Amino acid sequence: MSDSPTDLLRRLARVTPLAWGPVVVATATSAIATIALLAQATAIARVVGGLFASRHADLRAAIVDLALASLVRALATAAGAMIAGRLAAPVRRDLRRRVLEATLARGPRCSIDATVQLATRGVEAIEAYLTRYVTALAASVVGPAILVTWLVTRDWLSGVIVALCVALLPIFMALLGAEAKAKMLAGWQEQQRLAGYFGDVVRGMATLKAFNRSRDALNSLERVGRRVRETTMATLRVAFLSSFALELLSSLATALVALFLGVRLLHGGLALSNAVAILIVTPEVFLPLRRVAAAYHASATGVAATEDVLDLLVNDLRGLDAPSISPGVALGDVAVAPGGLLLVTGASGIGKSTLLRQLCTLEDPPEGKVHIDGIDLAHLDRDQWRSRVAWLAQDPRVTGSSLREAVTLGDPSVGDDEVRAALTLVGLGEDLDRPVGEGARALSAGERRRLGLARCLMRHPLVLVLDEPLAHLDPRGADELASVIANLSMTRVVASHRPLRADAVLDLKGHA
Amino acid sequence: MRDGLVARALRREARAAVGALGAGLGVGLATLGLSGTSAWLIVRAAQQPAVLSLTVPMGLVQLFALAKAAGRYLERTATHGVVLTVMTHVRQRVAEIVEPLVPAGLGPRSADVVDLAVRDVEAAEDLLASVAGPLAASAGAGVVTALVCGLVFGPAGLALLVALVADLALWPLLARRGLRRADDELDASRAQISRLAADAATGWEEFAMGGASAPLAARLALLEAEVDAAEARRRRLRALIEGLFVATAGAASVAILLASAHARSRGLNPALVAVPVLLGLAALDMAAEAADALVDSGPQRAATGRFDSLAATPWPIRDPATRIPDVDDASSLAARDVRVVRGRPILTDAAISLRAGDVVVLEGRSGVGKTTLAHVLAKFLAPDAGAITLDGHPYDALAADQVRCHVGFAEESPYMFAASVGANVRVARPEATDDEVERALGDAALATWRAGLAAGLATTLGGESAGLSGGEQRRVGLAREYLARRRIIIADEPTEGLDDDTARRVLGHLADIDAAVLLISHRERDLAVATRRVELVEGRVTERVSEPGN
Repeated sequence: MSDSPTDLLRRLARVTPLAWGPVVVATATSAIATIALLAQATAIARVVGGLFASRHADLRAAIVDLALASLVRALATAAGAMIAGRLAAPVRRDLRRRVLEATLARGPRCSIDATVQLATRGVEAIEAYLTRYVTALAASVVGPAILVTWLVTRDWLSGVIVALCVALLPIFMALLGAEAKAKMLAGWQEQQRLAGYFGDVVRGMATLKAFNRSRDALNSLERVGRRVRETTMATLRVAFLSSFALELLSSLATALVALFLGVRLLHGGLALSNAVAILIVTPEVFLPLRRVAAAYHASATGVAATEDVLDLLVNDLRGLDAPSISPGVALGDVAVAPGGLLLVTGASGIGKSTLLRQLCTLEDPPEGKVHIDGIDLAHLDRDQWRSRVAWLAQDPRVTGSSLREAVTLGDPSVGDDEVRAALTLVGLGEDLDRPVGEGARALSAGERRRLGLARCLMRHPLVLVLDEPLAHLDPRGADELASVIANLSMTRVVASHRPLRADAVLDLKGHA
Repeated sequence: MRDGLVARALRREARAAVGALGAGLGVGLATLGLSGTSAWLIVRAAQQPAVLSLTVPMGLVQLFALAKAAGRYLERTATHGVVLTVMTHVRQRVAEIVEPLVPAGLGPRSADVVDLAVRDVEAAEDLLASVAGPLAASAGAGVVTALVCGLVFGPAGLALLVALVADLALWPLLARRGLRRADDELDASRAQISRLAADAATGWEEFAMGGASAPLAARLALLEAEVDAAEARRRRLRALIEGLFVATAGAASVAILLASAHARSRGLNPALVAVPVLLGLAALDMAAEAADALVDSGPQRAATGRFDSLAATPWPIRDPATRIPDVDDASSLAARDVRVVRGRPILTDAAISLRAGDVVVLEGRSGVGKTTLAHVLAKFLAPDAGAITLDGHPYDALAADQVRCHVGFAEESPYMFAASVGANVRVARPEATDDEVERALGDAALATWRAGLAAGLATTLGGESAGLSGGEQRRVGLAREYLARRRIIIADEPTEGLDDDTARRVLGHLADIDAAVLLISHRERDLAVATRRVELVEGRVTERVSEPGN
């Protein structure tokens, strides 16, 4: 974790300015709640003063004030929690949508698991970071600031004592804290490592069992657990000095304020009601500071997740406009005119699929390798280009339950006639309701490819990119489909083992 | 806490737990003592008595202030000591519970169940450290204070007690059902979102190229709306509760002040008028903080309950009571009349035999029971009926590890440990040399991948298989299998996710080694190495005559 939590908020806000919402709301509502708290304290102090002096006359008014102030504080607190949460929701939606977009644009960043984690728990951890930690942080600045100011105006000595204790806090933390903080981190990391080791053993248990190693693993888990407990406790004993410091400063502030108030009351230099209000307010200065310290620990996952998500969301620059009519395509030295068919041949594993994926920008094409109408593909706008190219994978995934759904991808606005025409063209018959089975198991590999081709054609692409469209077809079926492909009018780039009537042929040899 | 796994582990540490609670109670009492005595101090001072009579309250104020800080330190270290020890027990127990159940005893979503158990352990730790401890401490300190208040001030103590009960029990209980419903709804939508994300991540090329990103985004928006609805419910309840905490404190101070006024009119010492209200405020601040954590702890409490249902899961197989001598050099396997019923019959009279030199390809549509049969053959699962023999020795008489010395099972998704590549392969045979590991990687068609590793065999793999594609993981699984040098190998879809060329190399080596191989597959290209072809249909294994792919 390189950034401090506040830097992170700034970076997050640069990606999504909505992130400021919860901060602003938390600041405003905690200011209102703090002022209500002051009103509460003053009202209580008035009652106590009245009781002390046996002046019962203005008690009723003070108690009504107290009730009102309590109500305002309750409402402000509730409203703060409510609105900050509501404002954080769009941040979550926005980030999740963009994680999905980034995944679709460039593929999963590392593993599929990690992407899923990022889109679910990661994004939610950011939401929690905003609603819990950031609001607690705002309250820990606003609340104490208002309270200390009030204290100074009410009684400068108490104000100075409290202000000193608050100011000492970071100094204290820095002095004893530098080591304590490092130890805290070390203890926490040690715990994380143990949790990680445990997770590894349990998640990998089936694998361990397959090699008769599960007993060994259970034994070493016990050993590691015991050792980690010892070392962690040793570090925590130092680390908890920081919570000792926080507690000591806050209780010391209360004690000192009470002592100095007492001394001045003794000499008659101060009204009792004033003193009571000050005494009520003093510990409240430290409460938000304690809460933010507690929330910091809980927000650690949110901080880590925010970094991951921010790393993922690098903004793409817009490229040049993609052509709007079927273009000519050049792969290295071999070019084909608009509307022509370029056949890519070569031994298995030589890079035909990779070349086609580069043409589709599924992998970044090296500069100068692929040209579209003479323009380097690397400079074209990726989204636009992808929307104009259709790609048939070697083993197309089929979703939906019927041929109609599989071809239209569930889009109900596509007319049956159009679907039927496409299916007939690729030789899949006219039965739109034919079930495809779960995971398209009712279809043969050849049929899945025909279906994929139909799906491509429905999109009316300017360039059609086909990866081994004729594999797994019987000879007659392959010939039929070959002639369908040959008679299409858009520019086509086809990788195939089987011969195909082509306008240009790129034969890959050795390193392409 | 119910009498569950966590509670039992906690009871083992009862003395330390009581110590930690005592420290927490001490902090609570010191906090309240500080409030009470400082209130007493200033009101007493306002009576302008002789300085000497302030010595006691002044001394107490300082004492409580120091006690509070020291107590906090003791409480933190004691609580964490207990939590660490208890969690070590819990982890160990959970690992022991999971061990006999995987891979065949937890149903088709075994990995998810195990993953949930791991996360539940984290939740249990949270529950102990940040909910249970503070709650018990603040409840204890609060009640003691209320009682003292009651004895000294009468009705003021009662008002405080009522407010404490409201904060610590009533409001959390009030929110509980609504929050649980919201949490359940959130879980449901979250599960759908993770499926959608997994879909997007696996099929991203076709979504991107097929113009299908818009429908996907629309589906996500619908799910987000569900999340929003559940979150809104959660938020309303949380806001209500937070407001109630503040309102309770306000109402309690009004009540306490009225009670004090009453007591004062009946002759209460004026020096004590400020004490009950300040005590009340401090006690309720503390209670609200603890109750706040309690309100949010629904999922954690549910998590600790799940360990026990996991522990109650019946084992898929048990070792025989007496251990017979190990079998030497087994190289053949025969199973007949194998029946497995899991609600519905999965295998009925399945039979299969494997001999050295065999490469039997087992086909069958997905979900038909191929993996179940593999689990039976690797002795992960006891069939409901049937006879299986290893070189003529009946499975029933052998312990699972005696079978697995000879029968290897290369899973469809082998686990990658957060350790070096070398250590990951050496799981199969810890004493293997680097050369042997390198050879195993090469045999699994990973030589090129190996050459690209920054730190060679010492390169660390991510925890949850990060950085490796599914195909690479399966090949690491095969490398482990080659390192283990077993003579009977069951491989579950080893070429899934590989390009044709790599698949051919992987299959080539698998067919070449001196072992009986059962290859589970639904890919035509895997047939190239088959010496025999069988298909699992409706619980039975039928021989298939080779025919060309369509």
